Amino acid sequence: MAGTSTTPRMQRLYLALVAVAAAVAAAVAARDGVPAPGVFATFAALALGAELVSVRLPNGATASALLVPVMGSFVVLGHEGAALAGGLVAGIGGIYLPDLRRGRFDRVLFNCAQLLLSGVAAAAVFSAVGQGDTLGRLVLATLPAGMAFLVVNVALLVPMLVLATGRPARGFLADLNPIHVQYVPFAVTGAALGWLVHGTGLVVVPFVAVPVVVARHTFSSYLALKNAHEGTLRVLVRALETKDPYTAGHVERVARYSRYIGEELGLSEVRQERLRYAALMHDVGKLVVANHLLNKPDLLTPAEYDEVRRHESVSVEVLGRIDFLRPIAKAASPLYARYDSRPDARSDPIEPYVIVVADAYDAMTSTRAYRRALPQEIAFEELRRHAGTQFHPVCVEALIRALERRDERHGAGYEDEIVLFDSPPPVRGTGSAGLGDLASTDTSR
Amino acid sequence: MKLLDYLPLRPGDPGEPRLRADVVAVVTMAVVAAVAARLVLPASDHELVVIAGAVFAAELLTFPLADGTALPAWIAPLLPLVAGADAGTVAAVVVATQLLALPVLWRDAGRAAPLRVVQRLAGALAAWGAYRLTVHAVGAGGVALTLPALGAAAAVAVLTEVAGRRLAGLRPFGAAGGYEAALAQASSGVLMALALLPDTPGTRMGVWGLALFAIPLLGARYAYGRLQAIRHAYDQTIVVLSGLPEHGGYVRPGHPARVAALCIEIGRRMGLSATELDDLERAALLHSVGYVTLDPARGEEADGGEVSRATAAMLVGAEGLSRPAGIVAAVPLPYRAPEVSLARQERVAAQILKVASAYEDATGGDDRRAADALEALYSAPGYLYDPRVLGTLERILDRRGVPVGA
Repeated sequence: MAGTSTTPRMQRLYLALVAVAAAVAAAVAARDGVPAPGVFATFAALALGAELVSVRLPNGATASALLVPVMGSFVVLGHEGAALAGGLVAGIGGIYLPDLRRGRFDRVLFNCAQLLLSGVAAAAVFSAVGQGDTLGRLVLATLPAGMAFLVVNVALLVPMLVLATGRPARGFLADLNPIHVQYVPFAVTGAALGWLVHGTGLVVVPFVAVPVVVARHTFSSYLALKNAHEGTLRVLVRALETKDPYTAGHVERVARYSRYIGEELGLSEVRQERLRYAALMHDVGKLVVANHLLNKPDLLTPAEYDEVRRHESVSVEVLGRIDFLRPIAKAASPLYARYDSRPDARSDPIEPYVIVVADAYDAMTSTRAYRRALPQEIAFEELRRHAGTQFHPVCVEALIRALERRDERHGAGYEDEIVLFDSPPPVRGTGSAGLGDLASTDTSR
Repeated sequence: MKLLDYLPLRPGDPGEPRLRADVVAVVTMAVVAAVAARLVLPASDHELVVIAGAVFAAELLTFPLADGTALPAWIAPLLPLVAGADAGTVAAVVVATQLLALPVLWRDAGRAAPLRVVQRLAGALAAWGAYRLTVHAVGAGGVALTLPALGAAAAVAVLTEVAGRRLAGLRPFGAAGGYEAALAQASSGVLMALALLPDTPGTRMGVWGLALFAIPLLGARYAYGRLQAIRHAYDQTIVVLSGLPEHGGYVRPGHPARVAALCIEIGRRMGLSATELDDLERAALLHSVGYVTLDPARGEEADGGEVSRATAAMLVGAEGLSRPAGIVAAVPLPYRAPEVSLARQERVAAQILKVASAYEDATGGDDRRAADALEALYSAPGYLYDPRVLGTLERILDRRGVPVGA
């Protein structure tokens, strides 16, 4: 309880510290001169607009074009009041109207103060580097100036995030890494705008705003459609779970384990996203299998077994019809994705093998209609025993490493939810959709 | 909390390879043009060559639109071109760059490629004419003169694009989201043209303006690429979902696709908007997907109402599918049912879907059975099928030359 009562006080203290520093910085900057009011008002309005149309990214960070007016004001004003103007223009970016409507004045104050400090820091770097009056020099000077802006921005923001959430700084730094080249286009555009304003007047300012607003509008349509796509995938997952209650959570867990493996293997973000979609859809063919077969506690007849296995070919066909999943469509079939079934497995995309391992692990560590969950140790043992034949050895080790590092335990005794059975499933046996041919390998030996 | 450095361009995102290709194409063209200018031309013509390079590069920088077509960024470099050159030079540059870009044109437009060359030439000359006319009419100097003239040139260029699309029988420019893309291009073009204005000594940017003011345009193009990629994936996921009842053997192969096509045709004739047509298409594709959650042992006997309810229950929670879910849920209702919870358009869409599905069930895609099917639909009891929808269907079949009865 003591922790929760000191945290707000620490937050307020930190906020006051940053605000005072911002006021001092503004006072010092004002000694270099005061900006021309018309120019300042135009760029301030642009900053306000840039923040108003900023986009919230799925990871919670915000993308905005604030650097355009900040850098623009540096170039237009030269040395006459650029430091104060840049600081104030940036600081105005903290006035985010939705925050005001919600009455979050503390948040607005903090953002204004930290952005003002970032802007003044950027102005200092810009005037140190940007001596001279050629376009090339000014454009180049925006690069270290923009970097200074971002470094100060992150350095001031992260302590507040730590105080507000109690989570370690390392996580935020990884998300908010200022060493991203992506600020460069905004900084350079700002310099170009400033130069053009200098030559032709403020009338050109709206023409820079238009493509940015169009890009923003399009990007939010993209985010909305991405949500809709996720929603459609959830429809599939939900339908699967209604049909086969024993696999409740199975698809989501396979997606999670696949992500663990993908992270261990250092897959790029685009491949991680594709892996996730494929993992969520790998069982889609089960939707066409009769309910009573999926939930049958007894052995299947050969005809029934063929019928159940048919879902794999349906899944493969279905995934193959989605362009960006086509290269990894065979993930849906453990038969196709057996590691030793293909001589050139090393050069194949690794995603199908990732999903097969994740699928098998979850099948073994969760209770099914025909078998209780196995302990984690047995599951690891089984995975290792079939590594190099049925499973890709790299994926097996990656999964085990990832789970051990996270200290996650699944399987007998650690199941997510307690399932009530009419007749308890048998304790032994490994046959399942994910391990179907593992069982058959066992009997043939 | 906000953070300002976290821009949408993240490494490895879908769409990024395309952006990289765009940047490479534009930069390569700029370098080639600069080198060529340095080697071949006297000093005064350097800028013209760089502009020509930009005109060519713009043909490769295409904005994908909602209807699957693309809008090359040709309006942006056209503005500095018409502002600084005479009609003959404009024509020569446009024709030369179009011929160079012909392989790309051919890939995108096929047999319509020659038409597009003509359209570009006409558009460029019309824009040049608009620019000169406005300059002549306004008669002043400096930015005050140039801005209205550039605006007129951009407007005329967009008009020729709209006309060209209409001639080619494509979806209206606005419905495909073309005006936003054209606006972004025109704004960047104005900046590029102003950067090349001769009467701002000391602060003139010259051809660097072309590169610098292409940056916001590339940003917009990137967003369009991302949107296109996700739109494609989403549409395909819907189609995949719609195919599940076929795989399970609950409906005839191709049933959802044929119903969707018929729905679109009826809906368009009954004046539904583009958004309503999109919702109707999704509802039609997915209208029988509920079969998979019913017990398949009795799937064939499940009545239509039960399938509609199961489908609606499946879709209703999903973002983006709630309106299609509403349409499917309303299908079992008689067309005169006083259902107040639904918007009028959803009810109309549901009646269209019901008629299209029943017609497709009765004919199995074989129009020779159209007359019998229509007869059966007309004589169905209890206000089941909306006669306005049936009338529209009859007119559509009639236009196709399908015999629709006595």
